[in-house]
Amino acid sequence: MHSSRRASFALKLSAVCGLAFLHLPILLIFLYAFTTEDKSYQFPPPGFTLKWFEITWNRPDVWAALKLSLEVATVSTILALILGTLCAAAVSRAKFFGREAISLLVILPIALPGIITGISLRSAYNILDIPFSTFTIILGHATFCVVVVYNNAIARFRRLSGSLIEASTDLGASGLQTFRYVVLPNLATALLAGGMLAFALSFDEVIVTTFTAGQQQTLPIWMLEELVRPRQRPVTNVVAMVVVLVTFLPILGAYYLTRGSVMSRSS
Amino acid sequence: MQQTIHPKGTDSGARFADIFWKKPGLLIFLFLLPPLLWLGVIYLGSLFTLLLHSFFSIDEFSGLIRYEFTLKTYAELLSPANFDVILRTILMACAVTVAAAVIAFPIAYYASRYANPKIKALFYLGVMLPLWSSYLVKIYAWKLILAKQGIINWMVEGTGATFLLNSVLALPVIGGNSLAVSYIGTFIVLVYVWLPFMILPIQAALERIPDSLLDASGDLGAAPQQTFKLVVLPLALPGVIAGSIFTFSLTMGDYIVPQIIGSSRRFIGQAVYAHQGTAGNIPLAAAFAVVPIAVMVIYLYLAKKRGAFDAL
Amino acid sequence: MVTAVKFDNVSRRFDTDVAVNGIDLKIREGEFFAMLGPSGSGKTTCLRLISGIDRPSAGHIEIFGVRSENIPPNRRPINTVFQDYALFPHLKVLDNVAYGLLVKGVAKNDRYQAAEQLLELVKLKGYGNRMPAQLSGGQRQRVALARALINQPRVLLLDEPLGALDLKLREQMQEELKALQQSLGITFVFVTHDQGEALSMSDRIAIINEGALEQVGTPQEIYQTPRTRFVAEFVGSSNVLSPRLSVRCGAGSNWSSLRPEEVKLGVPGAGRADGTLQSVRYLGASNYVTVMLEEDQLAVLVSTTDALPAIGSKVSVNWDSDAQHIMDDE
Repeated sequence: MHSSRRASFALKLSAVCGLAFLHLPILLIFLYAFTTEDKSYQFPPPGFTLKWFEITWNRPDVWAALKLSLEVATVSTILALILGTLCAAAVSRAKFFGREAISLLVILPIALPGIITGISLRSAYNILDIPFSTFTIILGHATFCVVVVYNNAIARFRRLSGSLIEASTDLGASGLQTFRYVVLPNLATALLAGGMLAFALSFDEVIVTTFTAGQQQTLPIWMLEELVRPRQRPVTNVVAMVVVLVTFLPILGAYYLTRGSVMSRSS
Repeated sequence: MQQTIHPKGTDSGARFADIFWKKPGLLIFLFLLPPLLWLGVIYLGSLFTLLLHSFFSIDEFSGLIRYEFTLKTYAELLSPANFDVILRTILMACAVTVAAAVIAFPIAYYASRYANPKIKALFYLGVMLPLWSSYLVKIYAWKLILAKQGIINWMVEGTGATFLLNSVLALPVIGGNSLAVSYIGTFIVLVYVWLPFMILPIQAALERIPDSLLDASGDLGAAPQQTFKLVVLPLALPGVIAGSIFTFSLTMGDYIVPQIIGSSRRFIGQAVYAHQGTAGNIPLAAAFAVVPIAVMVIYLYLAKKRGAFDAL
Repeated sequence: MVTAVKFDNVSRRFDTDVAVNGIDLKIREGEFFAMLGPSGSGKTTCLRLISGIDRPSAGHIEIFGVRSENIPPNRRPINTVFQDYALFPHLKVLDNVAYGLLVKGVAKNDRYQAAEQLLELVKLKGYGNRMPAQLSGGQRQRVALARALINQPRVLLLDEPLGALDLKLREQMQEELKALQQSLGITFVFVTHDQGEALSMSDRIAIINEGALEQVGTPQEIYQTPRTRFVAEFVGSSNVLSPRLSVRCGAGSNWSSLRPEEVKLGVPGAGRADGTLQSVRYLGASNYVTVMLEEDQLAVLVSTTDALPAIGSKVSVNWDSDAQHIMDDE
């Protein structure tokens, strides 16, 4: 239907330029990871080398930050999966008073600027005298990751027609059997996608983390330090490239897992 | 072998399940309990302590927080220096929102109305990948681009457009020594970072306009430009407003972009960060943080009246 | 005769809506029972109450003499063919059919064997490895039927099972369902809004309107002696005579029904009342004629072998008093 009309050249050009604007800066990161220049951000790079990868590989501070980031992202994702799925199951199952309020509450941590969530947690830790630790980072991350799982799960719950669950019960299945044989198989890809996105979100988060981390460094905090006070530009370049690759994989994965629903929405 | 009826569950598990069958509300309540406890206690509780802190003050001599109700901190917020910070932030948020809408619209319009399914998927991924990719890496990329020896200066020198760049940088207020330390630089990077959040809701709103509506407008004698102005734009507006909620809110709360790329003059986010950090003035930081919340509450109220939430 | 399902003053309210309002009803074992009513009349709610998916707000339902309020759906000897079939989209046809045995813990080989037999029964042999999405509407309907039969239920509930099928397929399935019910000998409770379907398939019919029971009876009783105006009008084709019209025709002063084939046309002045011939519709063996008696309309079925007056001409109408059936309405 769409093909019957032709887009004007100006529209096409501005659409393509817009997309290029979004992507070229990220591509530039890949170029800089291989530059031989280590004192400035010279363009074009005077030469190319792989030695920075080796140097980065041998940096214990990068590994420590990476390890903490993976730890935080894993635990936060698991918590978000549990909380988000429960919430989506309840909200999709029945119309009850305050449903809208619950949706709003779930979305709020990501709708308000990260700095609000950050300073809120910081002031709560201050009043309750909670010392900073990995746990305080996770508390913040899980809070804003819930919405990602929730959004994915609730979309799938809505497609999972209520009569499927009724049919399962009608055929003699207990609640647990219905969950195991009907709900979970239909929900699995949505949860996997939501979990991947939550992982990517947590792995990359910096604003809330600066308020809840104390002296510990996640990978984004390590990068932020380098951005404010550049000390090892080549190592930062390599880390930036690795971060791009690490976050792209779950996003692509999530996209392929939920492709059907995306397509049906836009057709 | 026909089924027989067991009036009672055969084991305790079955009896347990029977309770949920008789009281379906109980199951929903149990489902909701953990997420509501988490978000209600940890998140709303924290927001509340933030609000509480903004009504405390800092003791000027000891530098410790005095836990007594006072409006002193809010009065401090309205001092000329602090008020400048608020005004500067809101103006920047407006500028970024308008620019993002202008750049986002053609992308969303093309993807939703002209692209075939394959191109559409490509556009969707093309927006989702930058949206989800690392925030810091994106800022870092712009640091590379705007640096003295970076790609912008290389291009400007290569094309002999140095005078053009210099005259832009010579502009009062928004100019500066180089792009990396000017408001223009801050503005460009903020637009870049938050642009995908504008594209998606606009595209969603445009997808929902049925083709027949445009055909009807044409059939009734409207020229394509008239159809665009009279039909497409009004129907896309909720999407634009929904997108603006994100760009506006995210810009207001950002403290990393202006810290890394921009002049030394502060934005709200930087003020919050600085006051809670080394200064240890959590009350003033909290009062600063209440400003974006208040602005967003008003903004959301107005947006809801325009029906923008359906486009989220 | 054993009562399979008994409704004892059953009501179901949703907030302010009353979906089912004080229904008393007995469904006998082994009969083909239809619940007929317009959409939104509460017939599907009745079905959900029998299966246990929903619970009554008041009253009791007995299943084979046992009060059911404490028996959840998974422990009732009842299975359902859902309106939208509700086939599990992630399971192949064979696993869909075998589902009832899977949750009972039956070994894989045994349940597949039983499922294959049922697929053969519903004429879908060889379709076991397909996914539901690869089937046509009629095939899905058969899978849903086979799946609901695997647990050998004593009562099978069918919620508008033929509604989504085209006319030819629907007629074929009507015959097959009827034959299936007779060979299995179990109770079928069948919900439909199609009066033709209900009349042609069922042993007995319950007519439901706005959550209340209007009439229960055999198709002949429902058709020939409708108890209320609603039944006469919904089952269709009968004339409903208002007291005003009856009085004018010298036929009593109650609401009554009169089948069109019982009415005779004559020359003006020769019958109970005079009217104008308004329209003629040719039905093959007969003509369906409407006559206006001042502001009331009367349908008359005239054999095609009889001569027909011209449209607009004056005619008289007449019928035997026996043909007229008095209804309960005030």
